[in-house]
Amino acid sequence: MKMKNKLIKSKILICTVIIVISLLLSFILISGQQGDYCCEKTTSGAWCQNAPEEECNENFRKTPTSCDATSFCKLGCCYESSEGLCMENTPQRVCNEKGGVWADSPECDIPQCELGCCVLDNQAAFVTLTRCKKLSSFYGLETDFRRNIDNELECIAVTQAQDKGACVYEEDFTRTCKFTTREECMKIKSTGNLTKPEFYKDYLCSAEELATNCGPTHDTMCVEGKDEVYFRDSCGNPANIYDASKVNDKSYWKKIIDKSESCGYGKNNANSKTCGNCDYYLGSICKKAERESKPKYGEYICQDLNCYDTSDGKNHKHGESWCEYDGAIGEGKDPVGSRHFRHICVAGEEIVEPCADFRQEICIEGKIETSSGIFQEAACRVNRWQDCIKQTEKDDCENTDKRDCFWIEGVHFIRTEEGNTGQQGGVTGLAEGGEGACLPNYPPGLKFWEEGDAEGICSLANAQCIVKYKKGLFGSKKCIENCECLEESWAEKMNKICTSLGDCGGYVNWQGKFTQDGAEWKIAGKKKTLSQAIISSIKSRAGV
Amino acid sequence: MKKKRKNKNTTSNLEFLYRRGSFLNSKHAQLTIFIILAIVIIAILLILIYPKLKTIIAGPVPADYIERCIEDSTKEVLKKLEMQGGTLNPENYILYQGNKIDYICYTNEYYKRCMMQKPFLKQDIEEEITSFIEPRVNECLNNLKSELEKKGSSVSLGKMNIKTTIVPNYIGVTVNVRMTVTKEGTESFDKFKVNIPSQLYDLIMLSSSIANYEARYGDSDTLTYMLYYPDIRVEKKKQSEGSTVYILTNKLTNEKFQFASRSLAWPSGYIG
Repeated sequence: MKMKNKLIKSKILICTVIIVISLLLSFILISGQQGDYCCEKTTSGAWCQNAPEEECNENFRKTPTSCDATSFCKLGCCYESSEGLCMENTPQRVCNEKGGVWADSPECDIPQCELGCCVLDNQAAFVTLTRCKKLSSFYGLETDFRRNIDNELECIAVTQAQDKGACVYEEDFTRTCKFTTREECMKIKSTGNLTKPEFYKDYLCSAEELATNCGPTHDTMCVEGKDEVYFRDSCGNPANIYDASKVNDKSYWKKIIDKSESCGYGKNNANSKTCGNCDYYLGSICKKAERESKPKYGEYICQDLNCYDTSDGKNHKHGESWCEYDGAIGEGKDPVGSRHFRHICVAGEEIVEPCADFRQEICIEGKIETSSGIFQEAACRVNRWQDCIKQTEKDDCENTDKRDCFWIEGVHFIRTEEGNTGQQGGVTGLAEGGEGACLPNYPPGLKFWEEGDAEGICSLANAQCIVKYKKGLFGSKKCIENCECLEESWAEKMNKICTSLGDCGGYVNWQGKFTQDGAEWKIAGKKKTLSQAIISSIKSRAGV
Repeated sequence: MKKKRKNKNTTSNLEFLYRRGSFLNSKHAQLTIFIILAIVIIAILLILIYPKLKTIIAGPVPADYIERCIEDSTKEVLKKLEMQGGTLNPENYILYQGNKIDYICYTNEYYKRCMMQKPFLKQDIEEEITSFIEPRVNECLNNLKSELEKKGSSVSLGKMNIKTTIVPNYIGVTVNVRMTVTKEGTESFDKFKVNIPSQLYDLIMLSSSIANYEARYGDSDTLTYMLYYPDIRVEKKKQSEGSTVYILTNKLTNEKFQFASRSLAWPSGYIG
């Protein structure tokens, strides 16, 4: 009996020890995995990153979970009360450190961040209330925040609908004038005989009947928030749009004349010496004139914002964008190391924006028909090559809604018995014949110069072709099957598929240099090289 | 008689001319002219260097000296801050064209949007400016004190406090320090204030907005910003490991501000 009890006790003890050891081991294993720690601050100075434990700064907190599960690194909205700014996706720790107000709403869906229309004299801004107060204080205006307006277009329309005209008042016993809105006019303090200012809607300060000290001049000016060149009266107020033919026309200095009734309406009037009716959307804006292009009166002119003789040899409108490439694109032709670029025409300048490296982004462009012609737009977007080789049907492969691939016939991928599984769709190699194979239209770049997955990826396009001979009498042999595999054209075809997978095979780089190191062609164990004709064909295919 | 008069006049004119000529030819005359010229040149030089001379004799004017010191220090620090994403000593940065550019929004992971690292960018930059200029202004104050004391003045300096504010169109630096200079009379200063013209405010606000877009959507559209702000050029340079360097330039003043972001990065190849 005693022996039996001893046995049971020892069994229980052993089990307990095993369980404890297992728990300890699993804890160590879990914490040893990469990215399993939330570092409040890493050794490189970044806040709230999921990283290995050794990257966490010892002077800050760290937990073996994702940062989303912690309180100090939880992402939310950080509200800065002094400027009235709302910063999204901010860790709580970072926000509190600077004295901000943190809210558990990563997209800033909180009352303090509610946007409304802030009216600033004759301009408007779609901002928060605190920001409106800040902006109003910068301009010395009273805060006019309209919560009922919930979109930017409506906000801009508010300012355009405001009554504008001549605000006549007395200052130092002089009858003077300011061209402004009715609301702003009422805030002006008048001294002397006029107890309060008088507002004359649609009138200019230079109107004779107002009898102010403001009169016509030959000067011009730009007005903030407006595109056009305006005449300036002797008090510094804007008058009507600059029209050299009307400089001495009294009626032109009397009442506001609409843009649509002014000179050159519907055109951009770029560099016009006599008309200042600029239009930003047609490619011109008021700017100080250069010495070579002085207007007839004043110092300001409509500056041409369009771009001429750009890098693609064409002219482009202000705001247009287009794509440029380092070589040929599509159907696996992109040269090694090449990138896609987006070019933008802005204010007469051509700006180049490279898309992501390793062709992880491609440049796409489209055209829009407008009343003033075709308008071109381009953008960098993600290259959707990842599931190309998994596709076994042509329709799925060429579905541009889901992926960026192309279908090649006469070859097929050899897949494992498990079929279309895993990252590479179970592909183990390439073979002649079959329905076809799906390949990336824009092959992704690979870091083939260092240890990594490049070799494994490129090996998916390893191809083997068994050529059958018939032995004749006296030792002669005749090829009876897959004889095309002995031709250079077969090697070229396989190489083409190889280069379409990524930066693999014998191909050209973006500088135009061809290297064959990425591919090996053998017949019966003997190494073969591609002829110069084939190499030239490959180079021309790369378009470099 | 008339003829005689004429002759007399002619003679006297000739005599005058002769005397003038001989006057000019004489060594005394030449010396006199040179002396007069020398006096005139010295007088012009004195007029030109008088303000500096006055400073050397009487000592520097406190307000001018300190304000110049503040301005020079601020301009010096701005050059560095603008190239490094608003930080003097970046910790979390990317190296781009020889500059360590701080990340405003960052994630070390792939496929994820960045997390805001500097939600109070303007405030951070103001603090950086203050911390940089404080020892320099302190040194200037001490130097000023020594100079004035050498000239026989008695100077007392109180505790210094600096406040920097970045607002539209300028950067305001206010040095609050009680300074009393006593010589024949007493001159007191409570503060020295300098407004340095700068468009940095607009560049900072735009940078914060871009970072916000990166945090929300993983990317931003530079064209929209440039269309809304025609005076500002926004360049976006995507780097190989997924970071983006933004360079904002005010086309009118050529002032720049550059910062880095890493959001929605895609790994190269098939791993990810």
